[in-house]
Amino acid sequence: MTTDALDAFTAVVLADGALHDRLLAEPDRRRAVALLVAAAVDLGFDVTEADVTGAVAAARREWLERWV
Amino acid sequence: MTARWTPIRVTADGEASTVDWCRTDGVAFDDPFLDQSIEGALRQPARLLFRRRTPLADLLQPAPEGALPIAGVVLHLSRCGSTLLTRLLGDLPEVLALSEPGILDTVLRLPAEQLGIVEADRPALVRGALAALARPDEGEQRCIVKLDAWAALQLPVLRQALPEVPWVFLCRDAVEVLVSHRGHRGYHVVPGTLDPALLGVDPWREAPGDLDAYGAAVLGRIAASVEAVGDDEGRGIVVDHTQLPAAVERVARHFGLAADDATRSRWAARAAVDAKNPVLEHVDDRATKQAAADDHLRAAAARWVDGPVRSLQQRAGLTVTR
Repeated sequence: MTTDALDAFTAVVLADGALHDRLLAEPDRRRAVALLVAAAVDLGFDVTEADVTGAVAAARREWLERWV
Repeated sequence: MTARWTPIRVTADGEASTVDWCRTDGVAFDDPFLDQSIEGALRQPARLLFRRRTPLADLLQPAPEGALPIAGVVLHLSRCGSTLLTRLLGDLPEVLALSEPGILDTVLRLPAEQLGIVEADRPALVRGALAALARPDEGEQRCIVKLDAWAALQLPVLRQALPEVPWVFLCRDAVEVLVSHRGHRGYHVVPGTLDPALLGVDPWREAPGDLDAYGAAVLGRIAASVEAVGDDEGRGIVVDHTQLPAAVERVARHFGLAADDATRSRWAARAAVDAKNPVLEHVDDRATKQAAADDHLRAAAARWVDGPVRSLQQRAGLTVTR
């Protein structure tokens, strides 16, 4: 997978409200990641669980460091 | 489900300044501070990953339909019950209560050039940011917003941004506020955080190394800023810490809101616990704080802040000795 694949999937999600709703509806963090990977793969994106957890960790760090 | 997008951060970079948005439908803004609710929402991976970024200048455009009307603004001296008051007002079913949204602080506090705007646009930017935040999710019909303590320094901008909106300023004996800050200093009473240009004075120069004096001077400027505006043709009222929680009825009426018995029951339960940490019981700490004040702190309060606070306490209806 490349960051490009996740970026492209992100663009699809942001353009598809129903898909976005479905991904938001899962409150459990681990299951939400699995749902997200499955949705990406279904749409033909080469995205793995490690890609998503890595992206989540990076986004989380970027958010936490917003005041630094 | 209707999508609610909430602006969660402004990245100030001149004309390239941006706003980050995340989906918050289904997220109750019921933590003591809005940013805590946002923090919780971002634990959901899809909320964290699938965000939008837009130019900050877009907030200068007329807001899209659907923003809640702003019923009132809560301003305060800090450490004087504003979190409790905001949570009590948020217990009204029709009210969306926004407690110290970070993006409003950013657009009120940062110099215009950092935000990529001209100063004359700041009221419109504040109005746009608030309209973006004031989106209903669970049938709310009105919005109230509590701002950071130092936002009172920008009261003229707020009045331009929201000229018809009523506001309340909460105050408290300055010695008690300063004792609280000694234990855990707020952002605004740490030297170097607020721009001296915003304060109008540079107390760190006048009393270098004296944190109590710095804090007292900042609080004094905040109180004086409110005192200077007067009652804003009836739109501004003052409530003292000692008048809470009963004064919530008065504030609600001032904001055009009405409580029923069910809400009053919620208020009684809310007031029995600590507003910022609801697992703890509320403790009246006035006597403890007075006892903790030493001569140095009292002298700083007397020099910098007691005068305007006592004037405001009189406006609140207290009998105060000078």
